[in-house]
Amino acid sequence: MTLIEDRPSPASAAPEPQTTGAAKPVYRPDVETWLDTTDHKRLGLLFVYAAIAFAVASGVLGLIIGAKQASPSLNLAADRWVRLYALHTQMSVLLFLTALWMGLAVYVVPLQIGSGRLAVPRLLATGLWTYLAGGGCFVASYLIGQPNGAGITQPTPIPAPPGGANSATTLWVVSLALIGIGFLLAAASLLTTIVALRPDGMTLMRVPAFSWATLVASAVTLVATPVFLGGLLMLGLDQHFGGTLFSPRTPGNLPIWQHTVWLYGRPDVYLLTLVALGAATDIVTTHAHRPSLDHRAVVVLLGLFGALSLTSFVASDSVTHAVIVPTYTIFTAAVAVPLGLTALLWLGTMARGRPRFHVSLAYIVGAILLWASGAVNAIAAAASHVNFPNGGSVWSAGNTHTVVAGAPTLIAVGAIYHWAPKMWGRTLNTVVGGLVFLCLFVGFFAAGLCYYLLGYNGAPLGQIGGLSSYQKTLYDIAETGGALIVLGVLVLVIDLVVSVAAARGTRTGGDPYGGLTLEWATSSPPPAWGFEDVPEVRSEAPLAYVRAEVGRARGGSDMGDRGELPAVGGAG
Amino acid sequence: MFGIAAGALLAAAVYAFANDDRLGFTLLLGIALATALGGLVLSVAGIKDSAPRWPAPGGVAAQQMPPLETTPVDRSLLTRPSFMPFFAAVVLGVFGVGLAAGHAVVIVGLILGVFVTAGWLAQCWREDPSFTGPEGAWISDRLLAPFGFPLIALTLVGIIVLSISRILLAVPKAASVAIALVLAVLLLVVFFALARQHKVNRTVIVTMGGFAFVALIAAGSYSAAAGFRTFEHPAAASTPPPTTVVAQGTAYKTKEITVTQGRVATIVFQNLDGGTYHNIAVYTERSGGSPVWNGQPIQGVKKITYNQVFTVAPGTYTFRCDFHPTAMIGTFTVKAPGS
Amino acid sequence: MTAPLALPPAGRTRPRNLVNISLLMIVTGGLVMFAALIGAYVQLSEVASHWPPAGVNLDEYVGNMLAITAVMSAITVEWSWYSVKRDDQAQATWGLSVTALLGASFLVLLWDSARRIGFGPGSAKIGAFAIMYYALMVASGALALLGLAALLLALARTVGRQMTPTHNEMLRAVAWYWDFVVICWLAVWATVWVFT
Repeated sequence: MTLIEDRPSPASAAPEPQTTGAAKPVYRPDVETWLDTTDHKRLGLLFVYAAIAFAVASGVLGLIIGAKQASPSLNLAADRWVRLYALHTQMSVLLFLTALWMGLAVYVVPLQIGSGRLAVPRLLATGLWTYLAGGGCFVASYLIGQPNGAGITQPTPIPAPPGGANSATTLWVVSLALIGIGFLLAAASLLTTIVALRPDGMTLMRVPAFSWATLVASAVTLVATPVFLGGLLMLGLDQHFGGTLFSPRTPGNLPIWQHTVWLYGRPDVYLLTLVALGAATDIVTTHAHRPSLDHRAVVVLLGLFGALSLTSFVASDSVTHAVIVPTYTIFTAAVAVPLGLTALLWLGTMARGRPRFHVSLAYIVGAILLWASGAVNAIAAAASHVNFPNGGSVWSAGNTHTVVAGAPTLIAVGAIYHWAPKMWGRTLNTVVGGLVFLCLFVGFFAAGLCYYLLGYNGAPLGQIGGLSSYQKTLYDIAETGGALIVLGVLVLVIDLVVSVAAARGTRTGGDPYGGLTLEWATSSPPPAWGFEDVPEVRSEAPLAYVRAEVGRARGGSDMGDRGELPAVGGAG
Repeated sequence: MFGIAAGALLAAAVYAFANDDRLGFTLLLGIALATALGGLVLSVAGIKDSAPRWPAPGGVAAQQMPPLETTPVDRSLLTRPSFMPFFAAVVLGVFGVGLAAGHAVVIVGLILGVFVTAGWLAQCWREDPSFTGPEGAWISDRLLAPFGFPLIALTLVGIIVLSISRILLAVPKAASVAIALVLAVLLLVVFFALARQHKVNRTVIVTMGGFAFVALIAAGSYSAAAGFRTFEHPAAASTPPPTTVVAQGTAYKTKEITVTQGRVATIVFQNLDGGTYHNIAVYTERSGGSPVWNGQPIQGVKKITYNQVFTVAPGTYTFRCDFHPTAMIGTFTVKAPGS
Repeated sequence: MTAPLALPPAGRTRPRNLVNISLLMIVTGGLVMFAALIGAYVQLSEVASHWPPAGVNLDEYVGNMLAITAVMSAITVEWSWYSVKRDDQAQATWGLSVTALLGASFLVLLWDSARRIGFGPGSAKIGAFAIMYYALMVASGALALLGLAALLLALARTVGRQMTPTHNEMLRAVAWYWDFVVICWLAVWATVWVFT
């Protein structure tokens, strides 16, 4: 059957049962069907919902620790503060951001590559529930006691107390292992899907940017997470038996700690930026209504980014006292190259296309600004020889709030707004989206800037008390920034609840933007089997090709003489 | 694709080797080999990735190209829903918690793991293309039922007996009698009420039963962790009653032990710190000194009975924990026989 | 006008087996984990003054027995897969049973030797060597335990005649996984016992 006779429009030809007749809710709230699902859409949504829940929790924790830092007279014991600090840092990166991107990828990627299903969905389901189990154990380990040390972000190993550590430490190590295993299984499933389930014509070079970024990120996860698990095994045994593997008495154990346990964080956070770049590329090309200036360049750059994230293992051999280093070695600085070039490609694509504004584009602009501020501050730190005391400097917190966590979070929320019509069949409110953007961007920027300035002032990481008035002002502003971040997340939740759950958002069809990639070739939300019919793929912008064919079949080509794609209106 | 990754990593491995960093070298070598393997596998898996580039060089008249086709999606390829991943994750969680909490939870996790594996096997078995209805009926009638029902029954009985026994052993004597009586009366009343019903809602029974079962296991586990109450034994004239020493919170609850020289001393040592090693070791001085006797260390939560004859001269010694020598200290007195 | 979007269609691809591909991804990850652990062991051995520390006695026969058992079991599992491909149910069942037995004995010997290693008095008991040794043994043992469970499942399905010459992906996946376990053990054996 050929496309042109059966399909007057690129959207699915099958009548959508949910729009005709009495409105039947698409997602029935049966707990059972969520527990036993193998539908990648549900699994993705579970990841996203869990991530948002952890985001709120982690944000509240951040507010508490920031409040203590800004007003040291607050009634909060020091060891409690250390616990909350460790909880906040680890929860926001591991339990929130990674899960949020995993959820978006699990939902969107099988649709983007045209398979409509996952390759081994039960593997991914196991990964999801293991991640949730690990998350629960992680929180529990901090509730039942004081895990040894301040988390895995320390650059020096945590020696075990003689006689063995308490059960809270063991539970903490176990929970990290569970979370790692969960993401490992999910990455394996995603990788298999992208590699093996593409339809004919969808070569690896034609895979959309987000799916390609997910492929690279899954491959790197597959290689980096087992190292982490090995390190956790050593750490767990050491702590449990009160051994001396990670004590200062044993020579040669510092690289072990750095390479396996601590430096896992490096590829992990790079991967967050990697999938953010891929998603942003797709968002930009969709709203510019033209494929990327050079899709092959995007593929190569994202692949390079992924490979560089692994070589960060090599980067910090000789640097012993910095966590996220401003004095970049060649490899660590080199990741700025693909990032910058990709951003330039976006600007070029927007310039050459016929863009229509969408709130998700604002998030991308915000992310670019955050990255730029990170780059500027990196140069400034290197130039001004920032003093890095042995526990790390607050400068790294600034780097985290802008580059490491801030920019990917912004793009993730932008991606939610971009793909919301596909995921829930309803557009989210643009004005509210702008409000969320302002809160998040100003919050991250303010917090990041304050921590950068505190770093230049010489403040150590985790400082409580002994503040000069300048430092106190900065901590206050940072606290306000943190409050804005939490507010932004809460407003996002409200928007989701109102537009989706309360069904107040505008109903959309399959293709509200006139998209280029295959996920727009099905209804919103898609049926359980993904697609009714998968269009043939002959380029990296299959739907544009479809529309051009349709235009040609209707008689006359509406191609501009610059060879651009026709700017088709958004009706699906 | 993977070939490129492997090559790049091999280069990085060489770099790390030049830095005299053995771990990094091994690690990167391993990564390089693994990714090379992965890449080899993927290329052998027959993924055909060649297609003409876009835009077509030289331009081809559109009329000469075959029209676009669509491929209907084969809905039968969808994997069927399954509860097994959820339960597998629960088992992993239980196992993990057990590593922190104690051996009992680990064993429970392993047993649950066996059940989950069996369940997953059963589901894969049913979904195999060669599976037929009569075969399934034969398996459940001839294979599963004869072994499964007795096994489930025994397990249930065992769990119930164990749980109730732990509860009864943990509470004071009078309370244990009361609990046993109340439980018996409760069972009588509940089943009497159920028998009187004309029609019983299955969901209600399952829910109530599940609830009771979970509550029983929870109470039993808690009681097992709490340990036994102290029992009095009728002491024989010659053997002195055993001394019980409890270690909890990295401290001895009993700070004095007295034994008779030359007689068998029975010391019951209970370690209530989950996951931590403690022991009782007798020394001549409060700190340092020469060892008199070192009891075998045990890892909490556990109990051990030391039977030891002390032949040292009567006097005052010190007993402490070899792992926490400053936090856990007590006085060890050796009496002369006949005093 | 020539439409620049005209492209010829791509070729057809043959169906791929998904379970095996995902298994190989996981195997890749497992190899990297062992690379990390062995690398840590090697790193410590380079830097330490005495390695293994004084008072530690590594029995030669334990490592060798485990290696021989592992290699034998790898051979038998491949044998059973070839038998299934040749539609020889009996040999396949025998092969898998022998493999499961060898795997179980591997685990038993591993467990026993780890309990009995009796690191010497004082600091060697919980020193770096002990932790690394236990880490390697625990990792190998955990993977072998999962492999044993997988072997029993494959045995059940083979006995139930669900492995045919054309549809035997599960058995092939299990065989590859078991080979991976054996390779990892051989790497551990080489590091700890052979290249001291």
